[in-house]
Amino acid sequence: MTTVFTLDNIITVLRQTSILFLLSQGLTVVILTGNIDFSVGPLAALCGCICAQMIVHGFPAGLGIVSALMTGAAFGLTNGLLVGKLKLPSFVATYGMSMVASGLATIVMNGGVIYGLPADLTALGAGTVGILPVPVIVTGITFAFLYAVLKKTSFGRCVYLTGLNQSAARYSGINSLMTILAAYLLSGLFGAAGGVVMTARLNAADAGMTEAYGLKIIAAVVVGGSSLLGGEGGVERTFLGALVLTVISNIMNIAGIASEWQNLVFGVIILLIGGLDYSRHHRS
Amino acid sequence: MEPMLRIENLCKSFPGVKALDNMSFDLYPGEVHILAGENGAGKSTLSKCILGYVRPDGGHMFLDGKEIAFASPKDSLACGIAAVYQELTMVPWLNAAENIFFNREPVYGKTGIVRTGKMISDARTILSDLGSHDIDVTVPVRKLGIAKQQMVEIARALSMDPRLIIFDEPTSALSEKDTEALFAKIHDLKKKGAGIIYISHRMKEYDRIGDRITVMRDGKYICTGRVSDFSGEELIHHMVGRKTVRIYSRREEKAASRTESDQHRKTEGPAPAEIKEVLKVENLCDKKGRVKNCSLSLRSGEIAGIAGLVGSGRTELARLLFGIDKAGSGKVLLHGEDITGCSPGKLVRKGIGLLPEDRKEQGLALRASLAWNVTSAGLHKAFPGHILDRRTEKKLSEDYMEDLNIAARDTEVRALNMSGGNQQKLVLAKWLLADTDVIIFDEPTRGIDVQAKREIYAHMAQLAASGKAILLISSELSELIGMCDRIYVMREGAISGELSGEELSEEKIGEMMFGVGV
Amino acid sequence: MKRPDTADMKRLARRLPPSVYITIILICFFGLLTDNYFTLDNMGVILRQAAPLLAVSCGQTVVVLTQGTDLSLGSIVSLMSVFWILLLNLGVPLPAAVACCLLLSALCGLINGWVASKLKIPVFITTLGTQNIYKSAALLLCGSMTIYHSHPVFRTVAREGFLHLSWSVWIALAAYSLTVFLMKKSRFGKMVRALGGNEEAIATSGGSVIKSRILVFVYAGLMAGIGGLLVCCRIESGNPNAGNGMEFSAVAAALLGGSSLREGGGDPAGTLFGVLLIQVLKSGLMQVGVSSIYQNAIIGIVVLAAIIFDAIYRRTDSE
Repeated sequence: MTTVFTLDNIITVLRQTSILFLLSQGLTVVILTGNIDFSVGPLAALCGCICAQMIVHGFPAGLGIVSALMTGAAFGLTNGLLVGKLKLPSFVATYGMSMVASGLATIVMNGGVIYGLPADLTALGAGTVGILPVPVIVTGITFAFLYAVLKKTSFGRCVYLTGLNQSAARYSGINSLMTILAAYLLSGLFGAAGGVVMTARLNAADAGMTEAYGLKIIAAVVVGGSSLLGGEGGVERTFLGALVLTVISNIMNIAGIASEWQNLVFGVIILLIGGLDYSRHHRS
Repeated sequence: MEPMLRIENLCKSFPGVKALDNMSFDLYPGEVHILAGENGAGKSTLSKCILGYVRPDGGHMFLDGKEIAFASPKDSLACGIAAVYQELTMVPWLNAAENIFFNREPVYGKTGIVRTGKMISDARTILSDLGSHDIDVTVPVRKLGIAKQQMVEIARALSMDPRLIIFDEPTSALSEKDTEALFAKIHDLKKKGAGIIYISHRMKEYDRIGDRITVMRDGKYICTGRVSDFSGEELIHHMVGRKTVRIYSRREEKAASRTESDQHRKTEGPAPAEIKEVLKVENLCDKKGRVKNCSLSLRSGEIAGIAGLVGSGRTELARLLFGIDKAGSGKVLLHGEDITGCSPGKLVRKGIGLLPEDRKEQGLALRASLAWNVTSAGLHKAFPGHILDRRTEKKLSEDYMEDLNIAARDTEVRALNMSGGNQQKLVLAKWLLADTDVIIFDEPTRGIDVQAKREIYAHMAQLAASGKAILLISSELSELIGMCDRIYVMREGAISGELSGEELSEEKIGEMMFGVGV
Repeated sequence: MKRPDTADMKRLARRLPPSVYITIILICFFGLLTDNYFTLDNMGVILRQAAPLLAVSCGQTVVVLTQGTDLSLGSIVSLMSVFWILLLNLGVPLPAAVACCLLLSALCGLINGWVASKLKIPVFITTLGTQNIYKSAALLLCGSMTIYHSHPVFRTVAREGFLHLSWSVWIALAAYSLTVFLMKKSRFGKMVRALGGNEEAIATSGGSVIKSRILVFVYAGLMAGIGGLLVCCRIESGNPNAGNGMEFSAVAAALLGGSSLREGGGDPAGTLFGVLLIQVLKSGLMQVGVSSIYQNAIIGIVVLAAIIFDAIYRRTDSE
C-alpha cells in the first residue's frame, strides 16, 4: 500500500485524469444550466484532427490550436442557438451535432490516421514543467479560471439561476438565451482544448480517438454530484468525479476486468445517480 | 325525495390554503344546482373531490345514500359521473370523434381495434343533438376553433350518458347559439332525471337554467336557495362578502400620517415630492387576444390596483409590461421613454419589477438559498463590478431578513424550506434590492398567513410613500380597496373601468368584474 | 368513391411531408449520375438496406409521438443481433431463438418504460443509461467480437423474397403497416396521441398514464428487436456495433416523415419516407462514388437540418 501514494503515482493519476477532466469541465457548465451536451467527445476528436492536420500541412502549431479552438467555439455557439433560440430539446440538438462533428472528423482525416507530430505540439501532451506534466497544468489553469467564473462572477450566478429555475430566472430579468449560449460556447471551447491536448498526448490523431471517453464525460459530471436538473454542483465536483472514474478504470484495468464492463458500470451509475437525484427533488 | 348526491362537512387543505372548509352541498335528481363564488372560493376543488381527482381530508360524500370515496376519476366514471372541465381535455391531434370517445371507443370484440365508422356516426349524432352540425368530426380538433372544441368537450361528457354531470364554466368560449343549444340539452337531461352541477361566473345564466344556487366563499358554505329568491346584488354581496375587518388599510394609515407630516411641514417647510407620471400604457394588446387595448397610467407614490377575474387578462397584462410576452400593438412608456418590446433584463435595469403570481415557479429558485434569491434580480445593484462577494451578499440578505422580518435560520436556508409568507417576503426582498421605480405585485398575498400579509401591505405602503409607483393585481377585493388609490377593473381582456376615491366598494368592483350593469 | 379532383390532389400534396419531395429529387439526381439506377434490382437493394432502419423507426416514431426519444433502441438492435446468433450457436431451435429475442427486446423496452414512468426519471436520462447497459451487455455476450453462425434462414430473409423485394423488406413493411394501423385505428394509437398531446385526457377518461407509457416503450423495444433480427440476417453475423447510431437515424426518419416532437403531432405514415430519404441518400452517395468518409457528415447535416426545420416549422405553425 505504501507505493500507491507516492508522488509519482499521484502525478500519474492526475495526468490520466486531466483529459477527461478537461472535456467534462465545459460540459459541467452546460449541465449547470439544466441542459446536456452529447457533442463534447466527437467535437474533441474533430478539433484534435483539425489541429493535427494543419500542423502536418506545415502550419505553425499555434495556428493549429487556434483553428481547433475556433471550431469548438463555432460548434458550441451552434448548439447554444439550437437549444436557447430554437428551443430544441438539448439532447436531440447536441446528439445531431455530435453526428456532424464525427462525420466532419472523418472527412478531415480523410479516413486515415496521423502519427508523429512536431515537438512544439507534443510538448503540450507529454512535456513537463518541473515535475508537473503540461496537461495537468493546462487543466489546472482552466479549472481555476472556470471555478472563478462560476463562483465569483455575476455570469456564473446566472448560469446557476438559469439551471435552478429557468422561469424564475427569466422573471428576475436574467437573459437565459445569452447564458445558455455562453455555456455551450464554453463547452465547445473546452471540448476543443481537450481534443488538442489529447492529440498532443497521443502524438497522433484519428477521427474516433475520443470514443473511449464516450459516456465517461457525462458520467464524470454526474458522479461528481452535479445535478442533471441543473443549478447544483460545480467544476470542483466534476474534478472529483473525473478522478474517481479514472481510479475505477485503473482498478478495473489492473484487475483485468474487460472494458465492456466499464461501460456497463457507467451506464448503471448514470441511471442510479441521475434517478436518485431526480426522485429526491420530486419528493420535496 | 332523496338527494342523489349529498356532501357533508367536506374539508381539503393545500399547503397554505384551506380550499374546502366544512363544505356541505346536495343535489337532487332532475335539478340544476348552480355553484357560485369568486375565484378561489373552492368551487373547482369541490368538483374535483366529487370526480375523484382530489381526495378530501375530511367529511363525507354520499351517492344515492351510500358513502363514496373515489380513488381516481375511473371510479366516478363508473358511477355515472361526468364533467365538462374548465381546462380543455382535448388531444389536439385527434379528431372530434376520437376525442369524444377517447378511451371508450367502440371496438371489435376485445381486440382494441376501433370501429371507426360507428364511432364517427355516433359522434355526428351526439354533436347534431347539440345543434353543432357544422363540426367536421374527422378533422383534428386543433384545427377547430376554441368554441367548437368546447362543444366537443361538452359532447364528450354527454356521450358518457351520465346521471350526474358537472359543468365548469362551459359557456365562457361559446357563442349565443351554442349556449342556447347547451341549455336546451341541459333541459333534456333534467327531464330524464339527471343531476346537474353548474359552475359559472355569468350571472344572467343563473335565472335561465338554474333551480337552486349555492354560494361559496373561502372554501366555506355561505347559503343555498332557489335562484329566483336572490337578486343579482344579493348574490354579489354573498360572493364577495362584507369583510368588515380589514387587515390593513393604507388609507387610514395615510390619513394618520398626513396629519403628522402636515405638522412636520409647518416646522420644516419642504415642498412635497413632485408627483409625476412614471408609467404610461397606451392601447396595449398582446398577440393572442387575451389583452385588448389596455391603457393606464401610474404615478409615482401611488398604488393602483387591477381587479378582475382569473382569465380576465390581468396576469397577461403584467407579463406584457414586464416583457415576458411580446406586445402585439400599443406602447409602454417609462418616464416618457418608449420601452415597448424590451426584454425583462433591460426592463429591470430601466426600472420595472414584477412579483409574479406563481411564487414557487416564477418568483423563486426554490432549490437555491435565501441569499441567492435575494440577489437574483438585483445582481447588477449588489455587484456593480460583476464580481460576486460572499460577504456583501450575506450582509445584504441579513439586512433584508431583518427589515422584512423573514424567519429563517440563516442566509443559507433553501427557499424550499421556508413558509409561504416568508417565501413571499423573500420575493419582495429581491425586488427591493433591484430598486425599480415601478413594481408590479401580482397576487402578492395568495395563500399566506395574516401576519405576513399585514407586513407585505405595510411594505407596499412604505414603498409608495418613498415615491415608487406600484401596480397591485389581486383577486381579493378587500385587499384592493384597502391598499389602492385607484383601481382599474379588467373584464375579458379589456379595462372595463376605473374607480377611485369614494367609488371604491366591493359591490361596485364586483359589478364591473362580472359585467352586471346596475 | 368519388374521383379525386384537383383540389383534393392539392390538399394531399400539401399534406405530404417534405421528405417525399426530397426523396424524389434525390432519386432523380442519383439516377442521372449513375447508370442502371432505375432498375428493379437496384431499388430492391436500397429497400433491403433500409429494412432494419424502417423497423426501428416505427418504434421510435411511436416514442416521438409521445414527445420522447428512446436513445437505447440502437443498443437493443445490437444486443438482439448478438443474442440471436448466440442462441443459435447454443443449439436453440430457430423459432424458439426468435421468440426469445423478441421477448428480450420487449423486456428491454419494459425496463425503459418502467424506469421512466414509474420512477419518473426523464426519458433521455433513462434511455441514455440503458443505452450503455444494453450495449455493454451485447459486447459482453459476444466478447466484443463479431460472432458467426451459418443458417440458411439469413440468406432467405435477406436476399430471397417475392416481387423483387426480399423477405426482410416485407417484414419491415409489415411492422410499418402494423404501426400505422395501430396509430390510426386502435385504442393504443389514441393513447399515444394523448401522451404527447394532453395527458389530462387519459386521466379524465379513467385511464392510466403510467401503463400507457410503459406500453409505448415495450412496443418500441419490440420494433427495435425486429430491426436487430433483420440486421443480423443482412450481415449474417452478430455484431455488437450493428445498431450504433440507429436510434438517432430513426429519430431523424420520424421527424423527416412529419412526426413532431411537439404535442404528439404528425403522421406516423410519413416515417417510411423519412427512412427512404436517409437510405436513398446513403446508397446514392456510395453509388455516385462519394467516398464513404463524407457520408456520415452529410447524413448528420441532413438529419440536423430536418430537426431544425421541424423546430422552425412547428413554431411558426403554432403561432
